Amino acid sequence: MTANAALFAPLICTGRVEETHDTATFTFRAANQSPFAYKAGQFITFEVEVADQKLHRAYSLSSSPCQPDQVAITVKRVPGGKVSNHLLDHLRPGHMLPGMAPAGEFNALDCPRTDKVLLFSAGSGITPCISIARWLLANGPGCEIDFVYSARNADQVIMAAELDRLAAQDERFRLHRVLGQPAREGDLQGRLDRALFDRIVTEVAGKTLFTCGPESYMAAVVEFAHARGMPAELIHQESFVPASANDAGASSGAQFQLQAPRFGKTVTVTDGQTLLEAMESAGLPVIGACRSGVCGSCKCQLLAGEVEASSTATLTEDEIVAGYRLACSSTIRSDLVVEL
Amino acid sequence: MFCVQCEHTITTPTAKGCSYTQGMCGKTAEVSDLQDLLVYALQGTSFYAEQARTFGIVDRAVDAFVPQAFFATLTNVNFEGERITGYARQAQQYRDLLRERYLAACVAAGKTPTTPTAAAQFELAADHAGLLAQAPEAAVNRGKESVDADVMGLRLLCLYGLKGAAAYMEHARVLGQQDDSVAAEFHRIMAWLGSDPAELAALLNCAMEIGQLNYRVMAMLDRGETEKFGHPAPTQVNVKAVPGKAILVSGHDLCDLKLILEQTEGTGINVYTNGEMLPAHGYPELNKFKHLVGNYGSAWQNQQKEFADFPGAIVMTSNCLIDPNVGQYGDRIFTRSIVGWPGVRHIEGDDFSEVIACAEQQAGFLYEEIPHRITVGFGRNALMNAAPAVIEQIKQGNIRHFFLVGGCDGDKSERSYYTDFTQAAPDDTVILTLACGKFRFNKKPFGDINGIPRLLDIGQCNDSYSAIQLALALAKEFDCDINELPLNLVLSWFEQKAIVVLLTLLSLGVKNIRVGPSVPGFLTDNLLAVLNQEFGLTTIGTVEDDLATMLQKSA
Ligand SMILES: Cc1cc2nc3c(=O)[nH]c(=O)nc-3n(C[C@H](O)[C@H](O)[C@H](O)COP(=O)(O)OP(=O)(O)OC[C@H]3O[C@@H](n4cnc5c(N)ncnc54)[C@H](O)[C@@H]3O)c2cc1C
Ligand code: SF4
Ligand code: SF4
Ligand code: FES
Repeated sequence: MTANAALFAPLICTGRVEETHDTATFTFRAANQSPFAYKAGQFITFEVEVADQKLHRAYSLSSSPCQPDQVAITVKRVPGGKVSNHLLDHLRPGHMLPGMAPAGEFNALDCPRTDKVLLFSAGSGITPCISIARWLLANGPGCEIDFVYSARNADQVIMAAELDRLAAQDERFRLHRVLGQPAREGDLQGRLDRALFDRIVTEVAGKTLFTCGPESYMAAVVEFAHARGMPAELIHQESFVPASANDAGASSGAQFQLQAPRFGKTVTVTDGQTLLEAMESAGLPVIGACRSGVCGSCKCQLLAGEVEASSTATLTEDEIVAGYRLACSSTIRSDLVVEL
Repeated sequence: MFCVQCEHTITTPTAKGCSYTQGMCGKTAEVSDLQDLLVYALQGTSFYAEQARTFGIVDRAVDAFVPQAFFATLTNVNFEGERITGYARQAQQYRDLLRERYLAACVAAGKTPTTPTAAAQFELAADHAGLLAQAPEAAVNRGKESVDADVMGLRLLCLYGLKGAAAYMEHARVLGQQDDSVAAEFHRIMAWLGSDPAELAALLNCAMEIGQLNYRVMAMLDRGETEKFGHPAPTQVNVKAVPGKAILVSGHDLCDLKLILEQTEGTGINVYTNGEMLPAHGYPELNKFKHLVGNYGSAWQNQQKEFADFPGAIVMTSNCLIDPNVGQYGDRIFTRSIVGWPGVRHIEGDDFSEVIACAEQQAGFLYEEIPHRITVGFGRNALMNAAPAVIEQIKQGNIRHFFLVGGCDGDKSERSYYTDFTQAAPDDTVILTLACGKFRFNKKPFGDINGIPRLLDIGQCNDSYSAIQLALALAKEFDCDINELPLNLVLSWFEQKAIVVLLTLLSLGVKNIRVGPSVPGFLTDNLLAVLNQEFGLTTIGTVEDDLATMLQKSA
């Protein structure tokens, strides 16, 4: 029933907690009861059917890998969003959703890291950051965490109680809430600007930065960190937002043939289209979860032809040589023969 | 073999029709030949049923049998040679009985018996090889070497149309609806077609008579269903699975569904509808069963994947059945009534315990999926109740146009036209739909116009009767001809039920119908030109052009 049944396992929703007026946390267990193996910061790609359309979306795990029998995702409403709003409106404990194995390079194990960690997040971007924090507190005796979270006001702080609990329980976890309208002592007021950044981050030496949130927010955080001289390899960011189709690249208007022999399909495509869009409109069962070259779900193999690749993030050298590409991050520049 | 009755038929640049060792549907040449013999034999039975009536001799068993057995030759119904042969022999037994009574009555009245047609005189060979040798004599296109192609086309149009009507007669009969005058008219036409008529005008007229006959049959069917199960009302149906053992009921027979619901009550087994059984959820006497939990799957051509994925027992109460061995569920699918597939268990009588036992042995659904609810049940009454509100919205200019987008589904890619059409229809238009073509779009969001849903699911193909009633009511309210209403019909055809519904619409004077995805293989260019001239009948074009043309009417 799924696009590719072998990639998905049934996950059963076991609980639902309303975090804010537009955000809820859902917990899941594997239908076959097997434990989840993942690295703090990784995400799961779910398959969700909305109005007869199978859609794939990535959600970062907000839970800690230390409790492997369950995972949690935290979903925030997106204006006009198909999947997020569908989940918030309809997903209840007991429902099954097909999910892929956890994946993602933005995590506490694969990213070069020091003991002192700066976690900067805003909105739903809190999810991988809190997972990283939970895991570090449990597994890194020498760790020190500055957890910086931005929201408009206290009501919009996702997992507010959990953040307070961590701060109260463990002195290695320092919470900095940056709120448009501060609600209590210690809340920092205003938007995160350079001055505020400097106030929180008094020292950058020996520190690693992880950030996740709206694009403009992350751009600012990264810029401040660079300006303060943090080395690029210790700055990590995770984008939730699909790369817009317009970034794909200029089109010469030329028409090419896209062939998928195993599915018996040949379609006409246009120079400059992303391979993912072209495959989706041809009705090929490709999964584009993040649409921005991070999740790897759209991996496909080019048997002939060339694309312009903007990301090969999740692919190994061998795979690239063998012709594997990320369809979402590949701009069509010639006739192509692809395999899924 | 030669069979050209459905949209799937083999089409080469030079010829149309399945005429090799197997039809596209999987029907073997042997079964196809036996079906031809059966139809020929039935034409003989009908001859004597008609003649006997002149003396008031009416045999209800024969009146029931002929349409029922004819139904067995409809596309995707019965693939079992032995059962087809059995029906053919039964047909001749009935013929012989009627002939005896008729001839005796003639003698008593001192009247000369009418000269029997070749079909009425035909004798089935005693053994299988003999039967197959006889097949050319009974072929549906017999005499094609000497008969004008247009005549042949109209004969087939009539034969296939009447077959569709026969199927509906059988559906009505199961619901306790039989009518002597309908049966008389059926036999008259069936017998006449057995005489190999050759006059174009008479055949065209016959096609209209078949349409009229079917209008009465659909009314009977409507009466049978609503009297037995109540009037359909708008009802929400979950199209996602819930955990538990499961039985899937497909086809058109609501009585079978009721029996299965009664016999599974309290067993913990959930019952799902499939395909044309979806409208069942609208009927009060069926949806009162809590374990009628939802609808599963889509149209017939997706069976081999969807049935394979269904973790329970499956019952095929009527068409459309396709090869169950491809998806390896032959051991958990059951046929009913006229349906058959070699090696598949056939349930006679009213006891479904074998099906229930089979469902118990299957895993059932393990998980609950996020529910997705669609609304069905806009049958005649519901439409009539909504009519005042609809008329109000038309008068206020909020509803500009109606489209009836319905008919059979199939697996040709051109059928995406129907999905695209409904998606492109402007927001101030209402779409009525029926039959299994709806599965291409019935799970998509359409919204509403001041409370009136933009997509109204009327029901099964025969519920086109309800759509006609709504159109008639609107025409009356606006004091105009049906063709002056802001309404267009966009039909998809696959098999013979769709053909007869089309004939009914044409016979009622409905003009400018569009059909697709392709024209019936048995219609010649000449005939298409005639249908276009007389009825404005056209094939579908592009969605944009078609919509633009149709909406001009309401501009
Ligand atoms: C690696 C990864 C991890 C993610 N983790 C989470 C998570 O933990 N929690 C969570 O809620 N979401 C998360 N997302 C985002 C999520 O996958 C979906 O993209 C998001 O929910 C929108 O999907 P949708 O179908 O609801 O919206 P769509 O119908 O796809 O989009 C509707 C509109 O919203 C815009 N949009 C898409 N995503 C976002 C966004 N994140 N913020 C603002 N606007 C957006 C689109 O450009 C579009 O204009 C993650 C994404 C990625 C790639
Ligand atoms: S029913 Fe259709 S597919 Fe089957 S043999 Fe006849 S024309 Fe061919
Ligand atoms: S509408 Fe036609 S194709 Fe569909 S199930 Fe009914 S008879 Fe078969
Ligand atoms: S869709 Fe995630 S890498 Fe392409």
